[in-house]
Amino acid sequence: MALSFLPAGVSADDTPCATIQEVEARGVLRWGADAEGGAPYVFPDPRNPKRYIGFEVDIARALAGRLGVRPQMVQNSWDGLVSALDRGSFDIVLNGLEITPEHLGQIAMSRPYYAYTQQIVVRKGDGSMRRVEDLKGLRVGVLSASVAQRILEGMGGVDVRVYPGNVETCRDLKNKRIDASLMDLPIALHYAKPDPALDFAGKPFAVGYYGVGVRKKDTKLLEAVDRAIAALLASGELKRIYLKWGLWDADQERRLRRYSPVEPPKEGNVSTLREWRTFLPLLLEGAVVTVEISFLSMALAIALGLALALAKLFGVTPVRWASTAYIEVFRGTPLLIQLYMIYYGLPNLGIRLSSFEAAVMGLGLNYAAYEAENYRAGIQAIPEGQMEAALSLGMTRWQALRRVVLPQAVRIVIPPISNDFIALFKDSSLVSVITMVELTKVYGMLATTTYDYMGLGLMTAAIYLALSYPASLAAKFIERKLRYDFD
Amino acid sequence: MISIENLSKSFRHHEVLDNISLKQDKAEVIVVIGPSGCGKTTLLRCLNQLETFDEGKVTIGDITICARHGHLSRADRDKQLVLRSRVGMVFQSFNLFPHMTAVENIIEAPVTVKEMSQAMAVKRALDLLNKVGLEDKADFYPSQLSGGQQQRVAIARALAMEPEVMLFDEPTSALDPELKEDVLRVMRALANEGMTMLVVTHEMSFARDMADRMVFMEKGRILEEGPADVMFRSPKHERTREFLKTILPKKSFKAGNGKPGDSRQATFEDLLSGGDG
Ligand SMILES: Nc1ncnc2c1ncn2[C@@H]1O[C@H](COP(=O)(O)OP(=O)(O)O)[C@@H](O)[C@H]1O
Ligand SMILES: [Mg+2]
Repeated sequence: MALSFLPAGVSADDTPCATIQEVEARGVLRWGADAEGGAPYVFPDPRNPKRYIGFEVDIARALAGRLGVRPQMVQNSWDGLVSALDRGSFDIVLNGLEITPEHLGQIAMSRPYYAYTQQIVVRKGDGSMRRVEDLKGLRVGVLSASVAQRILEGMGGVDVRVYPGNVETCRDLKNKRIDASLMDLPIALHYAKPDPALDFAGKPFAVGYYGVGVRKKDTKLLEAVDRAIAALLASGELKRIYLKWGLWDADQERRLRRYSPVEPPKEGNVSTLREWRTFLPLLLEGAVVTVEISFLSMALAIALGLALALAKLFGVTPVRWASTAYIEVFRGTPLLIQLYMIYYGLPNLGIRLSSFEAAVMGLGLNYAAYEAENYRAGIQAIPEGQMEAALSLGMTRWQALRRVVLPQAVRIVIPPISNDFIALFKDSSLVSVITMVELTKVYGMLATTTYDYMGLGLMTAAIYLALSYPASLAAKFIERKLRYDFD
Repeated sequence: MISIENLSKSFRHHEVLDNISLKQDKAEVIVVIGPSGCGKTTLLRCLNQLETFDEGKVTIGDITICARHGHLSRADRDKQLVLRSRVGMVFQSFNLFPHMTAVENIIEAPVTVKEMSQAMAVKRALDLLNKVGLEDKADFYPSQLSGGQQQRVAIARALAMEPEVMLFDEPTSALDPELKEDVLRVMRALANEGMTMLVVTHEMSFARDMADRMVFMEKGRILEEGPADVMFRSPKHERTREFLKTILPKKSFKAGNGKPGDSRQATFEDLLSGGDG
């Protein structure tokens, strides 16, 4: 039965059938999904992390079975699933992809395999919120590029905090960095329901549908997938899978059967370059955040770095060791982990920083280690005789440092420090993992809704360049100016 | 003015100064000579507390610093700073601050250490520059000055702290011969004004004209000391004589060879007549 709908004798140049033929020939259906923080959809089995489990893993197996082939999961970040499908990285997307006009503008989507709803999640005992309107004026966490984000941003008046994953959202909710969270019901059932500190508020609302994404030209594959889903629904296989994962509800079957297809949008792709008047201001708002974070964290790095360098060079033994340890630890571990630990880890010790503070701290503390090494090299490049001449005049060690050694060292360290500033400026894009919406994050969010990675990318790159190039020119100018004095 | 008693200093296990004792009166000029590596620089650095010594006692003016087994008392450590500001030091390599002009170099310590007003410090700095013959170079950076000019600025810089004692560590040995004389002239003037000076130099004309006493060091000890003319004329040790021979001006040495007889006497006579004073 699985093969009954395959057309016979299609020619090789008959493009609509190319993929289904390939899938057939390969005997493998490659499906794209993101297993990172992907429970209960697709995620590594905690008991055997090499194996993926989740309700979509079961659906993929059943679907591939109907097509008479084996399923093979291809890991891809969720944000990029649709573009990766277009590029041909896999045959279908099966990963909580909502059937929306935006998605239908870019790819074709099958009939739904799951009807999801939105659920408000709050801290246990917080009964003030019942309906989505109650969220106005509150800080509400959502998953990046999710339907929940779109609903809240469309509603307005909500302080929307965008998270890279669901674990982080729940954690911040418990840490009181946010007042509520809005998420797809399966996610809420998996992450929030078992957590004694969290509670559901009000009824689920805003029904939406997950469908399988297929390239627009693969019409035959789409038909095959549609038929396979219908068969899984009719045979009760889907119901079994959802019951197994605790995702079944009374309305599910009715909703899946009564589904009426969403109309794809009339016009083709958005050209953000042509509509730059709309998009550029959004990007520039992100750029302001990037600039603020970069300058503040660099100021912190420059001040702390100097203190670390002086401690390492002139401190008593334990101070010297402490400084060396700091420098090695912060240089030897990834900035990303440091950001996670500062933002999500420190609250366990009672230190609760806002995401902006955590971003400045994280970048500043990390770059301080690099600046300390720059200063140390700069100070050591000043001949010993300079310090001795100053001491022999009766100056204290500190006076000698401040008046004689450091002013000369500064000239040496300006080039490496300005290089680091430009690097920090670009590294600042990492702070999106702790819910900061800066330039790169704005780019990512706009690109995943418009799919114009190229146009937006050019605009974003131009903004970065417009900001970093003057900085390097200024550094060169200062360097030349200072050198002119005595060389 | 300066009193050194049983001063010893080692770097690791290498004994660089071995039980040195020396007394110097106010306004006295002492010239220290000795082969390279004998500890002359280290001696000056110990006096100036740039180096802490292991054993012995150093008194300069009314400040005494005592070391036992390489340790100083806390009180003595505090005294090191005061002592440094009363002792001027002139280095072989000048060590001017390259990011400051001549006048800025000179006012730096009076302003930061003595908290003298900027205007006052500048006025005195210009007087000092005048004294070393560089009044027109006040706003020049060290890189714009010749070696001899830099060393004279360095002397002015040390004098700006009004030291009781001036230490010179081979102040002219890094200079071309034609530039040495400007520096030596400044040093002579300073000696004539009654400055207490301890000078490590191999400029024998300066020693002949200015030194009240000469000290010959070898291997961390003072081998011989006495009035300059006595040391030139009749050194007590054979080593002193040999060393003097190596550093006396070539010209006079050649002349000495021309005269048969007492070579020591001839050498000194040559120095007196044919030297470059
Ligand atoms: N900081 C130091 N560490 C180790 N050895 C040193 C140090 N400074 C000087 N010395 C040694 O001490 C000896 C005396 O040096 P120094 O006082 O500079 O001699 P001089 O000035 O008479 O040429 C030399 O053998 C030198 O190698
Ligand atoms: Mg020396």
